[in-house]
Amino acid sequence: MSPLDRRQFLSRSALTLGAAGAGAAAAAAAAGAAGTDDPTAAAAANAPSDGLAGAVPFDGPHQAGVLRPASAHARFAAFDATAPDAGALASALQALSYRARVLTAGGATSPLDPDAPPLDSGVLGGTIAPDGLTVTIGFGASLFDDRYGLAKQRPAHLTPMPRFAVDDDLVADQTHGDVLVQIAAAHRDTVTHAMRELMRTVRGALELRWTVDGFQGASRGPTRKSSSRNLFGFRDGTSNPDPADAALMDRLVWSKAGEPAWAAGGTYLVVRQIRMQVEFWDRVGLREQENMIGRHRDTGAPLGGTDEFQDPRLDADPKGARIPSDAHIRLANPRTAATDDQRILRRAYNYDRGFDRAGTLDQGLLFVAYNQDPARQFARIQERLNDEPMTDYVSPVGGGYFFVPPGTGRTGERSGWIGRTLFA
Amino acid sequence: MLDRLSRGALLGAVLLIAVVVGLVLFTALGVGGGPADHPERRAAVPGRTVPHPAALPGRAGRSESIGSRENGDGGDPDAPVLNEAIPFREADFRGPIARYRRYAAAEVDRLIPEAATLRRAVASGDRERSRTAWRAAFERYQRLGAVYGAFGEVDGAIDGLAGGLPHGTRDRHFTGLHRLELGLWGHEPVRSLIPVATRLTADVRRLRRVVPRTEITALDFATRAHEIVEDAQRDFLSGRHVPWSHEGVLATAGGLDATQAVLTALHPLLKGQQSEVTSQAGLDRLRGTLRSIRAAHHGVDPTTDALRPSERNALNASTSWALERLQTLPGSLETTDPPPIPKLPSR
Repeated sequence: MSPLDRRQFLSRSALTLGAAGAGAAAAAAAAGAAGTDDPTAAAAANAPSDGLAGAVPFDGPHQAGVLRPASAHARFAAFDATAPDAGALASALQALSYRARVLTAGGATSPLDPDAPPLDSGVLGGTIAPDGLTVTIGFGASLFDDRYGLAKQRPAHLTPMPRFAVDDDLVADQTHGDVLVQIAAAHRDTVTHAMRELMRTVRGALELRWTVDGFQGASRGPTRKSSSRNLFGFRDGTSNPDPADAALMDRLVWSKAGEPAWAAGGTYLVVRQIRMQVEFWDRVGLREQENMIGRHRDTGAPLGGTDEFQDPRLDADPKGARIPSDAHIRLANPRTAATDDQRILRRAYNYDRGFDRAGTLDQGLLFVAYNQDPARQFARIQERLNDEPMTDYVSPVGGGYFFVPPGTGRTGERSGWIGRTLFA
Repeated sequence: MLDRLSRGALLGAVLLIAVVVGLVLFTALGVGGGPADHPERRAAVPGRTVPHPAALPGRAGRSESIGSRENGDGGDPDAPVLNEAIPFREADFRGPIARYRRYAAAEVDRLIPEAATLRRAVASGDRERSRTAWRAAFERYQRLGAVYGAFGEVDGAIDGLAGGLPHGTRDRHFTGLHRLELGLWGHEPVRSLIPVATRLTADVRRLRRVVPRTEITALDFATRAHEIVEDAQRDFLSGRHVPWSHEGVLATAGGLDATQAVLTALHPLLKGQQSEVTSQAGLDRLRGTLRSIRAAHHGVDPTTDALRPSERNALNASTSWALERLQTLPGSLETTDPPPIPKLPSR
């Protein structure tokens, strides 16, 4: 696939998105829109700024939702496997992929027999706009126990997500899971619809364990490259490695030698629901906030700097006179040769889901990161962050580690499904 | 700058009058006896019943309006008032910190026999008696205001949660009050908790030795004034850190007492300036709410589950109202002007 960069993705032009991100089929559909009465094209024409037409191919060597910049909306759904046997589980996963492929491509839903329940809920109308939908499927460590005979196929670095700190407040029913499905799209209704339709394919085989919805801050500048903000008001994702750098992705994201054969081309997904005590944070002075993060809130520049993407020059500030030694950015990414291969590809979302019994908002960060080996990368970073001052304002309440299997193969293959190599 | 300072001095006199008026109202109306809503809040929620409708609004409204004039920018009415005494010197905090230490030591002196009572109750195998003893010890511990690891490792041994332990609640390092909470509100035989209760008595005695030696910086102390209640809201009223007993109200009451001890100790520095007055008003309202709730539940703090919706609302409202006021304290207690941030070197 050709990864989009953030600028292209956030651009408001549906055509830009379609041309850059979509496969041949979608591009052709867009090109033919003017001359046909294809309802997909018509919908796109009526709402050109919404990017509804952009389709992201489901098939490819890697799952499409990994390198792609975070979409405006996402749902993470973790499931417990309830299939009576491996065959039933494999069938459900196959059906899940097939439905995901259809939904990501978009198009007309077939009405079939009017006496029968419709095959699609109709929530997005009779013709589904692709809307940049991606469906990314992952497997938790628990799937590789003795229930389905998969123990010997367990990916080399897949463990349950460990507890890291005394402040971890992991809630059992918000943590771990056998299967994880990440649904991302440009609009909330697309995500909601996909979730509902995908659920139909896994009945009996997968039961929901937890879900969480995320959203991205809109692109609010000052430049199109500027990172959007998390709910502490700080820009998030500034120092991400470049997903367009294939060699770098091979070094940091895609699974390497030592994995079972079926797992080649996969990656490890870390999801953490991190509750933010936003009211508490809002009662803290700006200087203290900025010292905790290590960046200026307004610009996102490293402390003392003026531009978000400036090198923080930690090497020139070994005593922490400018950026405190326990600042988040210093601990998370010390930018030394020794920590270079610990870097991760972050795809974080914000979440906002009501309030708790104390009357405070249940808001936070849906930390999402892809890496080649969580023990070498994410866990090392997290261990460094254990005592950062920010821990008073955040608490991890859920999430898990998941292995994201390779894609189905070449674009347009049409017969593959995510996990096929595992059950082969 | 001169302008701001002279304005501060001038309006300091106004503030003094406000404090006097506030105190008169405070005394006259017997504030502290019951919950009262914020004036704007009452206006917005006309149907709400308020036990003492006349009590707080006058005082709160007055000090707020003075606050906005004081700051002169029409901005946040709770922004700290300029005080010519700040930045304080670290040494200025010695007296308040010593006073707080004496308070904490006295509380631990009471905790020691309470922990012993708890151990005896557990040894008797009587679950109800043990829970009662646990409640007393737990509230006492919260009265210390031991937020953010103030007492180090011994705090973890006494009040630690299972969250970060590798084996969670089954971890052998999970001990102290919360381990007992799990056992007493779960299905474990009470007597099986004897070793945990015994260890608690030892850890509490160890705490007694630690408290006088704990290092408390001026910054710690200034921030503690609001962080204890922040903790209560985050951990106790939410139910997160009292998962088995649900004794979040009791714990909040303990946190309030600790905060009061800190604020009282700081009085020689704050000297009646606006942040102190409004913070005290916040604590008083919270205390009034807690008292009303306790009275309505036959003199015993109810569990958070047993709170009626109106009680929960009143408690949440009083807590967040107090926090919005306490947030001004650290700013009025600054010891140093923040230094400029050094420039990022160019390549």
